[in-house]
Amino acid sequence: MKAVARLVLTYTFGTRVLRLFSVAGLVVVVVAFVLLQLFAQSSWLLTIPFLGVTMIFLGSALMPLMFGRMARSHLIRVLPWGRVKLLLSAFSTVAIVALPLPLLSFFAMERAMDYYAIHGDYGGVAPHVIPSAAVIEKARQGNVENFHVQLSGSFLMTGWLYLALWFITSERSIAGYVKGLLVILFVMFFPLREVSQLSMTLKGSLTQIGIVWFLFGAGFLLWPRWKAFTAGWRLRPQDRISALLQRQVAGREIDLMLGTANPWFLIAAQVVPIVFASTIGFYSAAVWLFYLTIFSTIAGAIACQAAERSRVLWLRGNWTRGELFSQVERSFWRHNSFVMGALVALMVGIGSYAALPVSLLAIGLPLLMLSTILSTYLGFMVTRGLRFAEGALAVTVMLALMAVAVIAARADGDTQDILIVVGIEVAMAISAVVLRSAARKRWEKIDWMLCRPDRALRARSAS
Amino acid sequence: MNSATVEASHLGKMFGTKRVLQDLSFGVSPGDVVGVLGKNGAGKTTLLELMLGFTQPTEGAVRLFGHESYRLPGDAKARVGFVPQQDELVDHLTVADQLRVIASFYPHWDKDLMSRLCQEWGIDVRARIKGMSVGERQKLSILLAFGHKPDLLILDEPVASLDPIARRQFLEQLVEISTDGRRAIVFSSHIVSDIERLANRIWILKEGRFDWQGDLDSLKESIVRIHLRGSGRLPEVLAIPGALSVRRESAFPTAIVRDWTEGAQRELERQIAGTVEVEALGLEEIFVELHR
Repeated sequence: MKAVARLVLTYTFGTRVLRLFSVAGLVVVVVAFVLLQLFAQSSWLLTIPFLGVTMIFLGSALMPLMFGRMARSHLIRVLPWGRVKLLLSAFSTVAIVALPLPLLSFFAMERAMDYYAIHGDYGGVAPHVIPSAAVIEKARQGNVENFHVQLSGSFLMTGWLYLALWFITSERSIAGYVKGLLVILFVMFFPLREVSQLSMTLKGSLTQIGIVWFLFGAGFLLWPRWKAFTAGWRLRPQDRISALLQRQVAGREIDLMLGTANPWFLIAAQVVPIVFASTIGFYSAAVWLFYLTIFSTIAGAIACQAAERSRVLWLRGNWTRGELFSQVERSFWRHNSFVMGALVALMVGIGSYAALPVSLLAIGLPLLMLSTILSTYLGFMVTRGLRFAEGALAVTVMLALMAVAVIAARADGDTQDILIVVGIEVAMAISAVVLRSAARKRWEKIDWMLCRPDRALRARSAS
Repeated sequence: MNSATVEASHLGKMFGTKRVLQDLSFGVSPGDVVGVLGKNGAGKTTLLELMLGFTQPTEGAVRLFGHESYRLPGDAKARVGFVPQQDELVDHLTVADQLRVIASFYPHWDKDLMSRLCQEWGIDVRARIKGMSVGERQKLSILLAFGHKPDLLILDEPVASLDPIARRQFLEQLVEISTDGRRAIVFSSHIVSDIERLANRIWILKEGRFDWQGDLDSLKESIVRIHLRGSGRLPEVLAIPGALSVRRESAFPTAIVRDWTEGAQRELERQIAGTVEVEALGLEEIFVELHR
């Protein structure tokens, strides 16, 4: 247990930034608990626990990264019960992060029941119904059942989100982003839909948890044996696929070295599952804008590796740092414009298929393009590894994009909302110009000593 | 209960159709310091990983503390320390956090030893791993394998990125560990002088087989340079038993021979009607001669 506790502690308090998020998250959760005891539930009050839990989740962002790093290491194989303890630490972290929301919800409901039971003060709300003691007792039982349902649902969702985070943070490649996307898409389609349709049951959630964790746990624990077993195979299936894909890759040398020669893999990985999901039905057509906006940042996110991949180009090519930026920028736009075009076409297709309002498409399509442009230049700004400033900027831009997508989806022809969205889009376009200028300035002063490929990735590729 | 730390019989490993190791039988006992030598691709890492149970042998078996290494239980793992070729530290952590994480896996962890070594080796426990140099990371990686005082320490080219002072400190630490006679060390390195300084047993791997397996003194006695001093003109063709190479640049030819014995010396002296002077070789020369 010592190792499990230590690992959980390290995941959540391992760095200064994580400590900040975790402590702030815990404080917000405690404050939310107190407020829910003092005031009646309201939509603004219920957003506070969400904020706290989001901060706790972000505070434990080291978990997938560290879990992945340790899981792939040789060291874990000689640590006593290493894989078991590592798995338990992941399970515990998911459980801890999943707990506050259902718990707060439970206590808030209990507080409401107390009010009804003793007719006491409930945040200044006037009683509109006085239920009998039997009804209150039944409601209390329902609250306990509801707590279990919420807890299991929250556990399931949190686990999936960590998996998405694992893919995105540990692989830092198109394949990693695509895997993360697929997980998010899966979460959108299954658990979230159940939540929104209130069809989630305790039995269903527990079954899902059981199956998912059993498969994950068994796969994780047996992975070394599987790897040893397949080590003798001359060409494993994924190698065959890679070899096939490599044969298809052709293009300019700079594109090949930057990894931007073939946009079709990313396009296929984004389009195929979305088209599949849209044909088998989805709970809200307007939500597509929200998710497509998130998806459209993926192509840009890949640009965060541009600087470290360009190092070798600078050493070989006869370019100044400024000229190199222009070359790299062109190369990325040759790649990203295809991906962006595919997403725009997809949005139009889904819009026609789901009969989305024309106004939504009119403000949604520029949003998709802007999110690709913004994320691309944000990526270009990463010239010394991902540090706090870039991370904070990325989170801010992401939140802004999501907020605009939500407002745009809700606008439904409302002139005022449309004007707000257009105004924000104009501001974003100006921000994109500012970000490009900032990125270019950084590249002109790029320090190749500090801009190197990630050691962890190199180590993994060598192993 | 078998007292051998590691035992292997007719060990072999194939990757697909490629045979990497074949027919290796060996034992490692407490007190042994085994240096593993071999050219790139000779199978050193595969051998060490087989010993640790990272992969299953295609032929034969290897046992650690009496357990099949591929199915090593947790309590046996607690007796093993391993330093991989490339460090596997978590970049985002500080040295102190990394030490705490690894320490938490072991029932016994010598914090005092760690503090002392961190101080002696100049490792700042507050430093973030991401900002450390390759050599500093390697030093930390080595430290992590010492903390639980393993009965078997396996090191895969641990000193490649260390400066001479750090290398010396590392070797001193290994000597300290090995002197109590209760622990065994197996380490591979391309720095032959380190192996020569530290190891009491040598394994030389060549094309997946042991070209030599035994103690260092026997190796040095077995492979020697001989100077032939004949009373007259020596015959054009010399039948030197076990000759690895012969040089006839002067009137007195020299040769490097293996499996050298006093009997072979007497036989050669009789053949050339002269004397044979024997010169001991360094391990590096022996290694090079074996790979000519």
